[in-house]
Amino acid sequence: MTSSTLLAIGAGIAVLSGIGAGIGIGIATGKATEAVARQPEAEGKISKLLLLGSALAEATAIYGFVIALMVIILLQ
Amino acid sequence: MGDLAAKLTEELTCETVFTIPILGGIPISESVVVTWIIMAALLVISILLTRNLKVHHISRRQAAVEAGVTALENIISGILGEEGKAYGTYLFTVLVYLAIANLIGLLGFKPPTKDLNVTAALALMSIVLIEYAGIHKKGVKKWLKGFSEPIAIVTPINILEIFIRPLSLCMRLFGNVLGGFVVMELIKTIIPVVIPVPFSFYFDIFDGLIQAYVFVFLTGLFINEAIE
Amino acid sequence: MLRLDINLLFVVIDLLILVFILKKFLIGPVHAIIEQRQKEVEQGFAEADTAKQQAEALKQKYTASLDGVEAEREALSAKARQEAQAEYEHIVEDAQNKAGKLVSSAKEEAKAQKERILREANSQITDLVVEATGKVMGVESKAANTALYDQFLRKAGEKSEAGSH
Repeated sequence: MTSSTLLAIGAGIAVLSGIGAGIGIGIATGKATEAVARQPEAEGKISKLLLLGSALAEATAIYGFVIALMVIILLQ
Repeated sequence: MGDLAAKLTEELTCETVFTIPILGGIPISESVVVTWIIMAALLVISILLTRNLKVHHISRRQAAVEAGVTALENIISGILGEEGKAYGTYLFTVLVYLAIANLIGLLGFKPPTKDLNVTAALALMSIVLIEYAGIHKKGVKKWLKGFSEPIAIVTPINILEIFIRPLSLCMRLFGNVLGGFVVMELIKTIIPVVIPVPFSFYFDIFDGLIQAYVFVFLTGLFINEAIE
Repeated sequence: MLRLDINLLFVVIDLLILVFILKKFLIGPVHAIIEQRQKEVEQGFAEADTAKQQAEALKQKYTASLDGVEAEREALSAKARQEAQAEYEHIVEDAQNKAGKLVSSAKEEAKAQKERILREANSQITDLVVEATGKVMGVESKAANTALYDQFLRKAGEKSEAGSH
């Protein structure tokens, strides 16, 4: 195996952090939907919270992405 | 494929536009130049918008300006609360700057937030402001004592938080903008027409504004927490 | 992309300048104008309040003056009535006086006339009697006649005095 192959594998593993973010955002959205179904009048507040939570949960995926980029660019 | 990689690397690197020939040459990067452009634009727009403001019989322009400023301030004061009002101006500026910086890619400029220097600078300013707010409100002694709360054993974690918070803020903003950009480039390479439009809406506009809001929201939240 | 250098400092300075710019040229003026409007609205409210109070005071004053006018009118009319009454009484008294005077003067005159007539009649009667007795007696002596007449008159006078009493 060449070093570039290893780099690619490393970057791919780093991006696996996206799994956690995906699950987290999925759960959050599901709960938000339930909440809106239960209390439709609170939709504005719920969607605001959902957006914020999603943005925060997405951060883990972003961290993985940044690490992957660093692995590729800095170790090239 | 090699072509794409080369293009991506070229887009990702932040070039030095020019070098100031003092002290052995100070390199000025693209992001700083774009920041200057944003500053100039904001200065001109502000002066134009706030020209001959009136108390009665306001023009439509003035109504829009007042409504916009009031709405943004309401968002910020909703996060900061009553006590943190003094820090509202900074958050207002950061919100406006980040929104424009994230959207300026649409005008053909390279977004400054794609440069780690910019997001790091923002995060640094934020953490300085957060800790300053805490010290200003509580006094040095109480602020230091705050690290060992609720129990003494969490002190290292609390101290670590000072570094983690700005790092997280910085990396979140940087990674989001960069990630959106990379994904958009990939989509554009595969299908150059029609399909990129909705994605561009999401990654360029929606994500940029959301990240600007999240950055300001978190900074405001930390400040609010520090002065409580 | 992934490098931190002197540009970080530039960005910090730029952002601080941007804070100043926005504060000075966007937030400041907008706040100033909103505050000014707020002040004006409050001032308007205060002015309306004072105007209302003034109107209230004026109304009270007006009502009071209206009452005063009523009282004054009452007093005036009462006075006028009194005066009229006095005048009336005066006139009536005057008239009565005059009428009384007239009546009394008329009475006196009538009395005087009556007396005069009586006196005239007396003298005529005396003359007539004197003439008649003279003719009857054929005596021309005036002195004797007069003495007779006087005698007669005295008797008649005594008689008439006794009769009237």
